[in-house]
Amino acid sequence: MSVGTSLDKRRQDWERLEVLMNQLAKGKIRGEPGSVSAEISSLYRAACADLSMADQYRLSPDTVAFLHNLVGRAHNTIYRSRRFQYQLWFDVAFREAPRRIFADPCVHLCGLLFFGLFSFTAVLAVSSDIYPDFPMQVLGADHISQMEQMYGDIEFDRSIDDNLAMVAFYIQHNTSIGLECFAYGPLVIPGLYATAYNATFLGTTFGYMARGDTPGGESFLEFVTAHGAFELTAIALAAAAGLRIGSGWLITSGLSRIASLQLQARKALPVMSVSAVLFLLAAFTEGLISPSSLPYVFKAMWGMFSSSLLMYYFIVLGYPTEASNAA
Amino acid sequence: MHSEKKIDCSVRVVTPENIEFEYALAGPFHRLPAFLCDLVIRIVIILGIGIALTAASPITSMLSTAFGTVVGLLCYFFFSWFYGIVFETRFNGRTPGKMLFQLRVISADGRPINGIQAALRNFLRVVDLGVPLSIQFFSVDAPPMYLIPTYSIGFVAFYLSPQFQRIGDLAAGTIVVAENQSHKPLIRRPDDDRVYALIELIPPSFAVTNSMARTLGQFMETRGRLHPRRRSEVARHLSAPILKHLGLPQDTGPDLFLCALYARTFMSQEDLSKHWESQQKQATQTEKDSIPPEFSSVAPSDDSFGPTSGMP
Repeated sequence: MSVGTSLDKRRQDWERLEVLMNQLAKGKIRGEPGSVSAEISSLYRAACADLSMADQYRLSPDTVAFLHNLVGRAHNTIYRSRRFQYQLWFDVAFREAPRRIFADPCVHLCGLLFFGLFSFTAVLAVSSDIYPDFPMQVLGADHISQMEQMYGDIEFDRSIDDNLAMVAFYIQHNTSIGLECFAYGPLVIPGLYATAYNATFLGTTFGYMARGDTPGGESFLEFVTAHGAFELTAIALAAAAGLRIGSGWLITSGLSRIASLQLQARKALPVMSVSAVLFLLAAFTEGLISPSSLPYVFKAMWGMFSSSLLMYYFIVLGYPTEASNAA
Repeated sequence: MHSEKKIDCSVRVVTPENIEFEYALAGPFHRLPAFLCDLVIRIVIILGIGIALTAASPITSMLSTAFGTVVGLLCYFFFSWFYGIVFETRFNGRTPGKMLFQLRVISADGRPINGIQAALRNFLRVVDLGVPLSIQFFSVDAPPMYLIPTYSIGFVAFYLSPQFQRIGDLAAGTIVVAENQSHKPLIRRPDDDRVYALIELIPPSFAVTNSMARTLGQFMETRGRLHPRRRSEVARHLSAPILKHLGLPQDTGPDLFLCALYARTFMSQEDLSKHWESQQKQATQTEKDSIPPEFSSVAPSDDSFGPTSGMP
């Protein structure tokens, strides 16, 4: 039998497969999905067989290219991505993620680096006796006057809309700090530098504003109380996620660099997601509670509540149990 | 191995049916329009929500002054982080931009991507978007926090990886493939009727091998794009030894001869006999009209068809 005869016969099947796939993609098949998928799969297998026999059938390169494409599309139609599994994701979010974060050396390192430098510079900046010029040297005169003016202008009894521009600025500013720490993380050294730099900058700002005689200092402290816990933790976690990915290609422990990178990236995913959620929570707090006219007690309560929530998540849920050790 | 893959820009996949097939990899300049398209869609959606919220502010402000801010923030957060993840998980590796430009994200082993892979490659887009360019570069007075993403890290990764993967793709183990709907394969029927006469001269015992069949197919596909002179120049390499082998005259037009071999190999018997009959009829007609059956007059070309083809 010549190629032409068999090709004409086969081509009808291929065209049928194409039509069915297009219908399926457009969601037009509603009536008998079972029979249609059975037909698609048998046509797909036939096309696969045609492709594998291409040499024997003496198909021209044109036809082979067409078949590769057809089989590829049919393959993607049949082996679809799985739907979202809620139970699985709940497990990941509240069992696996906190434990993994608790045990993650990158989180320890970044947490220590970020909060350590933050506290250290805050202590240096807060005392006006030991190093009175420290904030000036770190932040620069321009930034200090800008900040003093900005927080001097906040009036918490105004409506939120009046403070909106400033709030938007700060959400954008803090999120970009987090993104910066995360995005430089895979390069390791720049990531650690970004983390250390931002910790120093933020720590000095907090310390300087807490001196007591700084103009706008009180409103600054009132402003940051509510969202500080979420915000700073989110930045530290973002840095840790970036560093974990960076450690992938640096410390391969026997795998190829790409495989190791993929493994570590998968491990970094919970850290990344938790960090993103914390940024969202921080943004809401920052947008709604921090600039509002609510009494300071409420904001302080919210700050405490958020801190205990974080502690519960990371320590209570994250503490390794025997079950998780065995796993 | 890697260099081989890069040259034809395709990736081989073995399916559960134990069939190996190829995907065409999508390069950066195929993916960029899809990315920009998604970006525009996201911006339009966020702007639309912003406008709707502003328009509805007289009503919503009765509920709470912060209502608009909350909804706006939520939408912005959702669309900037989960747009790609949701679409790629739900629609089998395609965002609207990818649908438009017929691209699809799949695992590097050919399987569909899962939620975790979609999340990884979309979260890590932040890394690929670096190194950011500060707006202060253009205007000194601009606030320091607005940065322009340059996608430079992504581009470097593209060119260093054999399968056009950016950092996010590398980490998630995904590739982006092009799924253009290619044209239907056809049997190319030679337009020159002399071919059918020539077929009769090839001995029935002469069998075309598989690799020769493939070569013939390739020749027929490229032939249409070549100048007649170039055609015979290309065809001569194959036609000359075969003509010699079969003992046919060496001055048979190489292009014509390959067309005949192709038709003999690829066209069905009925198809061939149909053409053959119609040609016979024409030939008898031309004889009646007492015009000498000179093939060179049918289609003036540089091919000389040779004396043997002066039949029937």
